[in-house]
Amino acid sequence: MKRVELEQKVLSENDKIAARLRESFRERGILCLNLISAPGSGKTALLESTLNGFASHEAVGVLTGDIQTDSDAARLRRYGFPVKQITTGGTCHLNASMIENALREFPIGKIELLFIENVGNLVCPSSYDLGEAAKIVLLSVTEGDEKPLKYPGTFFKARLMLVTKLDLLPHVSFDLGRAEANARAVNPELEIIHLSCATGEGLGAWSEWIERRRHACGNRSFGAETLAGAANARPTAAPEGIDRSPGKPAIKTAIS
Amino acid sequence: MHELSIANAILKTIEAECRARGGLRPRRAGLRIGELSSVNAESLRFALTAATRDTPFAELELAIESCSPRRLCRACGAHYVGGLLSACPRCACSSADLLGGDELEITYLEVEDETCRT
Repeated sequence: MKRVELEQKVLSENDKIAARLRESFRERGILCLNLISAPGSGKTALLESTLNGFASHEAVGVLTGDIQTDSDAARLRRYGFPVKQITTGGTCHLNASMIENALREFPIGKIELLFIENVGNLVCPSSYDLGEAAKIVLLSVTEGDEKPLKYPGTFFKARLMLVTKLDLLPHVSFDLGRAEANARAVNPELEIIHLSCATGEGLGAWSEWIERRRHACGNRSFGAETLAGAANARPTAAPEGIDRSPGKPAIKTAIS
Repeated sequence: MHELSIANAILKTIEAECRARGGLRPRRAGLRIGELSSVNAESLRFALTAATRDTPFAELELAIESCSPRRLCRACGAHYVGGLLSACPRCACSSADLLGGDELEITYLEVEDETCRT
């Protein structure tokens, strides 16, 4: 028997592709954000509210991952922006190769802001670099404030935590302060925004966060139009079943 | 499911390395798995057994080395061993970079002396 030293990272192939993607995003001035959460924390709902807030000329696109079905893409496509479903067929996370393949059939040249909605899972997605500028973790108030301690890996690698479904807070025992303390125990630099897609609370802060990141990566600014204000000045007709009048958040009708 | 994709990535790497070195026949692979890699060693063994069945790698043994998280305190610069919830033992600051402990590496292969001629 002979010993051959390797010292090879198992995910080196993924990391290589992710580096290629990151470089390509940087060259094109694309801000890529990777949304990670447990199933049912509201990633798709957040994207619906987010897309609903953009003017139709904004260069936004979404890649959405699920194990089965293209129902998320169908939900998101109604807002008029390019959306591509990645169906993993059993794999519990997206990897860089899936992103690279999906982008081959995606109008990436027209995109400045790319959201990746990962497969609902708080463990595996954090191991796979997708070339994103930032990982964003969602934690809904119906899940429990101890989640950052139970799944520290994802919260450690995230730059921003979005506490979602804030409107349900009065009905659950979730302690916002404790959730924040737990998340910051894992990642003291973690930025945190509380929001509700049902009431619109916090969507302005989310919009500003995206805008700051877009500036930082060379994107042009949204201008005066923010997610919070956009509903008042929709330039396009709302898709069927989506009420865009002010004060009536899209999600209420979009999930009915 | 995660371990199965990891197992496949490991096999792909080993296969490529063996091919690139003129057809090596691996008997044992050394793996380094960090405690923060989100990979469970026993599940990985199981996944590798499933993934190698009826392949030339069916007899491949695994030597798994586990490693603890190693941190660098951002406040005082101390190096220490501790998980993501640990604070610096010197200054109690909980803000620290991760220097290691999330590894997932193939460290070595033990191969038969004779290379495969087929």
